[in-house]
Amino acid sequence: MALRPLLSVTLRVFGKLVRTIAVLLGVLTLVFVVVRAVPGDPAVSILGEQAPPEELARLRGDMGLDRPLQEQYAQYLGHVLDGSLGTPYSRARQGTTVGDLVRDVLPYTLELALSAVLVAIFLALPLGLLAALRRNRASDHVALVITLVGIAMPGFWLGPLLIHFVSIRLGWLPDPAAGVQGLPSLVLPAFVLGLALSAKLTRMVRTSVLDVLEQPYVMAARARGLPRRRVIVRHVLRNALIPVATVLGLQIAALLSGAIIAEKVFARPGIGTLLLEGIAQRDYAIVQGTALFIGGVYVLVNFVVDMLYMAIDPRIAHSFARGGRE
Amino acid sequence: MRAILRNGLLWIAATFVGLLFLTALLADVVSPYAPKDRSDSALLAPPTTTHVLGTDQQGRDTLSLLLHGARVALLVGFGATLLSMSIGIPLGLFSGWRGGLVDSALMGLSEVVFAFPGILLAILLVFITQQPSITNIMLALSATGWAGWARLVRGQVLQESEKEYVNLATTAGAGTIRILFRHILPNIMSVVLVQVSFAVGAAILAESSLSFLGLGPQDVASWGSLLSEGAALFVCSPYVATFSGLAIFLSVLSFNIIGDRLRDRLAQPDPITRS
Repeated sequence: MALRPLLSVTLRVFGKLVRTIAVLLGVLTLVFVVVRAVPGDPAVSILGEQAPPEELARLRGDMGLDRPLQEQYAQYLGHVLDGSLGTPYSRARQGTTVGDLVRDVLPYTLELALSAVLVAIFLALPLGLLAALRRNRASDHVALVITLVGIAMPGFWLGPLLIHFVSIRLGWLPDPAAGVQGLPSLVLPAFVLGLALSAKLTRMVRTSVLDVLEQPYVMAARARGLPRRRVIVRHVLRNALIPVATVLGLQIAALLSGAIIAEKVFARPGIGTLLLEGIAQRDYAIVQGTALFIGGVYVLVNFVVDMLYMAIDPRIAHSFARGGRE
Repeated sequence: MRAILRNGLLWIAATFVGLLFLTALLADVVSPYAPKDRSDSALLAPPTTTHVLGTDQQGRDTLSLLLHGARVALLVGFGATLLSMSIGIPLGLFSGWRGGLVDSALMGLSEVVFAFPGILLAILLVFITQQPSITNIMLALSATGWAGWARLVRGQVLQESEKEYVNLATTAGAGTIRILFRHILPNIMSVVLVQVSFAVGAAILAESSLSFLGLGPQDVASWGSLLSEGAALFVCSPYVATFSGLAIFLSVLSFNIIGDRLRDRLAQPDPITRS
C-alpha cells in the first residue's frame, strides 16, 4: 500500500532532477553564446589595437578562439565539469583558474548573503505577523508603508548614506574603506541587502498568515480554548512559514544580484566584485565563470528548496499520490 | 483612516509621476542651467540661491542634471517595459493557449532566463555590446523582462480559457488570434496594467543600478551615474548623492504605490508575493 506514494514521490524527484539538469544546460549554453556574441575580436579588445599580431594569435590560441565552435563548447563543458571554469587571461592571474578565484571570494559573498537572509527573517517575521493579526489597523498600514519603502530603496543609495552617518560620522562601525574587518564590517552590508528582501518577505508572511488564520484547524484550536499565543506559534506560524520558505528560495536570485551592488558599495571582496573586475579588465573567462556560477547556484538552490518543500509538506506527496496536479 | 491613507498615497504618487513626466518633457525649459554648463567657481557646492541643489564635482548644476535625468529614467523605464511586454505577452498568450511542446519549450526558456538574477544578464549584455547606450540598456533589460510577462500572461490564459466566454467564442468559430487578442487579452488587461506600474519602477531601478556600476548610458545625465559619482565623494559633499538617490527612490516608490493601490482596487493577488 505504501509503495504507490513512494513511487510517485520518486518519480516526482526524478522529474525535478531532469528538469533541473535541463535548465542548468540551458544556463551553460546561454552564457557560452552570450560571451561569444561579442562583436569584434576578443583578443583585440583585451590586448588593444596596437598589439603585435603574434601576441594576438597566441591569445586567440590560449582562449581557444581558433578552434571550431563545437570544440570550444566541449572544452567549456569540460572546464565546468572539472570545476576550473577556465583560465583567466590577465597576466597577473596566471597560474590560477577562474574556479580558484571563485572559491577564494565565495566565503565573503556567502557570509553576506546568509546574514542578509537572517536580517530579513528577523525583520519580516514580527512585522508580517503583526500586520496580519492587526489587519486593517494602524500597525498594518505602517507595515505596508515600510514594505513599500523597503522595496523602492536602492541599496546603492542607502549604503553610502549609512556608511557616512554610522561609520564615518558616528564611528560605530568600521569604515568599509579600511577593508573587511570581521563581523562589525558585515553589519551594514547585511542590513542594506537584507532590507529589500525583508520588505518582500513581510508581505509574504502577512498574506500567508492571513490564509492560515482562515483555516478550520485554527478555528478548531481556538475553539478548544488554547491560549492565543500558543495557537499563533504552534498552528498559525508553523503552517504559514511553509510557503514563505519556498518563496525565500526564489528570492536567492534577487539576493545575489543585490550582492553585486552591495559588494561594490561596501568595497567588499566577493563574486560580484570578481565579476565587475572581470568586466573592467575585459577578462571573458572571469565574466563567463562568475555569471555561470551565479546562475548555477540559483538553479541548484531552487532544486534543494523544492525537495525541502516536499519533505516539509506531506500534503504535496499525498496529493500527487492521488493523481492530483501541483 | 484606511481610505484616506490609500487614496492619499495613490494621489501623492500619481502627482509625483505626473510631475516626472512634465519634467522629462520640459527639462530644457524648466532647468535653470544646461546640464553640461560648468561653473568653475562652484565645484561640489552646497545648495545656494544660484544652485538650488548644489553642484557636482565638475561644477554642473545638480538640479538641472536631475531634471534631465528624469528623461533617461522614464525612457528606459517605459521603453524596456513596453519592449518586454511586446515580446512576452504574445508568447505567453500562445504558450498558455497551445500548451504542449511549445509551452514546455517556452517555459523552459523562461526558467533559464530567470536563473540570471535581476540585472546579471543585463550586465552581461551591456558588457558584450561594449557601448552602453540607452537603446542597448533597454534591449538588455527586455532580454530578461519578457520572461516575467510571458509567465504572468500564460497563467492568466490558463485560467481564462476555462471560462464560458472563451468556450462560446470557440464554438462560434473564432480563430486563435481573434480569441487571444480580442477576447482573452482585454479580460486580463487589469492584471497587465497593474504589472506595468511595477515593471516601470523595476526598470528605473535596474537602469540606475547599471549606471551605478558604471555600465549605464554614457554622455547623458543619468540618476544612477550621478549617484555613483556622488557616493564616491560623499565625505566632501553629501548633496549630489543624497538628491540623486532621492530622485530614484521617490520615482520607484511612486510607481510601486500606484501599482499596489491599483492592484488593491482591482482585487488582485499581490504580485510581490506571487512568484
